[in-house]
Amino acid sequence: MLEAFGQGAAGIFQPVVLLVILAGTFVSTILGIIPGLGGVLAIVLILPFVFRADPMVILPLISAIGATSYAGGAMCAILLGVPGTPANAATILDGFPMTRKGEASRAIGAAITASGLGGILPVFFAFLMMPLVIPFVLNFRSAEMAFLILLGLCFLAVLTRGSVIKGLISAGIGLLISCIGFQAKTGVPRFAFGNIYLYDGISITVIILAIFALPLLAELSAGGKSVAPPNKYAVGTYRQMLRGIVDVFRHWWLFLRCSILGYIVGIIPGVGAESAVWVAYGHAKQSSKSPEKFGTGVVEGIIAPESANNAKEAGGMLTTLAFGIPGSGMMVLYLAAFIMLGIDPGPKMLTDHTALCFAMLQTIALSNVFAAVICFFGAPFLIKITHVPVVYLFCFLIPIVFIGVWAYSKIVLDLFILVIIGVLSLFLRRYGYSLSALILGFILGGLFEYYLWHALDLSGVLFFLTPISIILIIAIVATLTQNLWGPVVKHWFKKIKRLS
Amino acid sequence: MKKLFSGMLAILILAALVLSGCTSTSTSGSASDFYKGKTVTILVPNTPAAVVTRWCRLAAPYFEKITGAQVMVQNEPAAAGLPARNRIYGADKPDGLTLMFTPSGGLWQTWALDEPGTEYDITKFNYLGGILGTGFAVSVVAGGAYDKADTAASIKAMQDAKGFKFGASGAAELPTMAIMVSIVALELDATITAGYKGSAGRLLALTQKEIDGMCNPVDSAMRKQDSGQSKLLFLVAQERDKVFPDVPALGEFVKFSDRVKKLMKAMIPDPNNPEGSNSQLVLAPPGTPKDRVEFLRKTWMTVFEDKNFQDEVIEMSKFFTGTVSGEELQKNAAAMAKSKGEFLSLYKDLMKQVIK
Repeated sequence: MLEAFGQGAAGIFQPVVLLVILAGTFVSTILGIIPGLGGVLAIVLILPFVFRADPMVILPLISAIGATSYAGGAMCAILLGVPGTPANAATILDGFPMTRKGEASRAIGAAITASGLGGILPVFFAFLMMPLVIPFVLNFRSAEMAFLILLGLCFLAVLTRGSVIKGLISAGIGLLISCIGFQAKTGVPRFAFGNIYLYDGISITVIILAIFALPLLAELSAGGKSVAPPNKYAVGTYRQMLRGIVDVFRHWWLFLRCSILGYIVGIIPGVGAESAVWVAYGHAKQSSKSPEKFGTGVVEGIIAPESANNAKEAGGMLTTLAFGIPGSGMMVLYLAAFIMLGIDPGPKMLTDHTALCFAMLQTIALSNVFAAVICFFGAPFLIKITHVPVVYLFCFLIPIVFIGVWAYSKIVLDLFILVIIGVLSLFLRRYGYSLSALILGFILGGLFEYYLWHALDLSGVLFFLTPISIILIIAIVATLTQNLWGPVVKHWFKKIKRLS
Repeated sequence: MKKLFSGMLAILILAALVLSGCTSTSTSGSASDFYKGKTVTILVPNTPAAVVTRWCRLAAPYFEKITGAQVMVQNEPAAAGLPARNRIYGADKPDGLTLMFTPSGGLWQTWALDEPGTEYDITKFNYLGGILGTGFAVSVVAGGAYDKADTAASIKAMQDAKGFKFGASGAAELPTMAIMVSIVALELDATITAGYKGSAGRLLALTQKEIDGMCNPVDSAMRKQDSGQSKLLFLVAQERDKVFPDVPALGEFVKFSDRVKKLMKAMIPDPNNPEGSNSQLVLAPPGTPKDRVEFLRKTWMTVFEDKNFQDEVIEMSKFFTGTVSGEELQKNAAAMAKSKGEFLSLYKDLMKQVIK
């Protein structure tokens, strides 16, 4: 294994390959900053050139692009409150409030560090996980997946601030939106109203931009003069960014837990890449000593999703290589690139092409370092955008958002849906309904239905009688009843401490 | 007077000869000249990662070289490609500059099954040529209960099993139809659980032993067998495919009843018969000028029969099954249209029998 690790590194650390990784990282980071674009678009554009390219050059390029658009996306989420990529949506919850408090540099410092380290760490996880990934994935069948997703849905209770009822209503709306389109099992179109463009449902990109970008921009343009307060830290400082970097090391245990969480979610095919960041955010809030501060601009609210963000890419890569089964849209493109180059991912890939597997993971790690450096030096200039009057920002960003949605699907209806859901989100936000719960309901609702149908079909009503399912059910019950047993456990711990 | 008349006649005949020569030259020349320097958009109603997209992108430079045009490949996978197919069917300006590269299965099956939202008629497209696809093969879990020493033993085990589970994606897809026909042909006590997300979803379920079998195009099934995740049992066909002579055919293990033969002919592509085969085809909208259609047919067949192109396809996909001309595809579409009623009725009966 060590030998393969060394061979992989030897392949990556060639001048041409390093240059290619750097170029890919730069392009991807820039694309990540523009809402709606991101690494997927860049890889789609490169795919036609894969046929006649050298695998040792093109595969690192694709890996670098796929892994680093989140760094740019985080900057957009923090500075403008608009997610650069769907996976950066959770970062907005605390990142943007930090910008409004004049702590944009600190937020960016924390984001790029968490993101960068979150991309490096999984390379070492791979040493431990490579022999384990196959049995791990093989045991998560439809029943286990259904309960795992239900556990994720339990985080709704954590994400909703204030009224739980309102949170459930938001989640219900998200669930309803996820029902639009063909029902996977029966093929019957739901809520499509005869419109064939709705047969595929509504894309995550449209939902995320509609929920986060439009209401926020509308509110800002109606309210303040600029995003950041004018007198507070008028120019982004490297010192403030360094403070953000130190924050990640201060919260190293949170960072480690969320990276592992993101990695594990990434490994499991079919959960959805966007789920990882919300699960990490929910976990961070739940385990925090002051959960009520989440959403007001706390650095932990940035560290959690950003560390999960890049860790999930490495996990997803491992599953794609080990099974030939892509767990996300990005991995589908990776898989296509492999096949075009005559490489067939599957179990034999881990044994026959171990060096190549490590090379791909090492590329993710290296490109994340490059992305962190690019963002670190570019951030002070970008931060100036927070002092531009919001009216101008609004006029600039709204077309960008619309172009981002159009570039993704080229369907005019998506633009109308963007506006409709944007207006709905504006009202939900105005009256205290949780948009995070709406997103989680949307992402996880469809997945839960998919796995539940299969579990019932294949195993009958007793589908939950598997060891992993039972453990997950216990975890779900524990999460939902935490308010009941939590104080009791704390009381007993205090007693034991006093006695000892 | 006589001299004048014969002189005029000679001039008229001469003029007719010259004009017909000019016209024929200018028609073929005009179609060829038309494409020089132009941009040809090829719509692909699938994702950028799909096989048909990869083949289209492989073929594009060859097309560019012959025509002098620039090719732009545009993926429009929304709603399973239906809006893209409707759009090209109803093109305002069918000038031959917008084409479509699509699997015939998705195009023809969707129309034959009267899927909601289908606004095109397959007989009215101008088919320009295609690459023959493969048949469909049934696979089981490698090293599982149905992976025996030989195919006959595996089939016996399947027939003896109670509740053999097949996994499928859409109920109207060709692999699902192949499964249904296999169930009827082998008289299996089997069910099909539909709704898996593509071949990746089915493969994962098979590897996890959640399902017992699945069906994929032969080349895909062979790739999965090589990776050690599944065992290819048989091709759903009467006879072996000449391109894959090592893959046994279902017809070697069971005698097909008349009903099964009818189902096979109506629903399953026969890789040994170009008329009944699946293919990745290129088409132009209805109303495209005839001379351009003819030019495009010749061009695309030149592309598909180019040895370098075929070598590149083999390098990527490990095989090249053959080509099918635009004229043959036109006949196939007409034959499909003729048997539409029968196909629909057979399909509905089969669905009631086997889909859970």
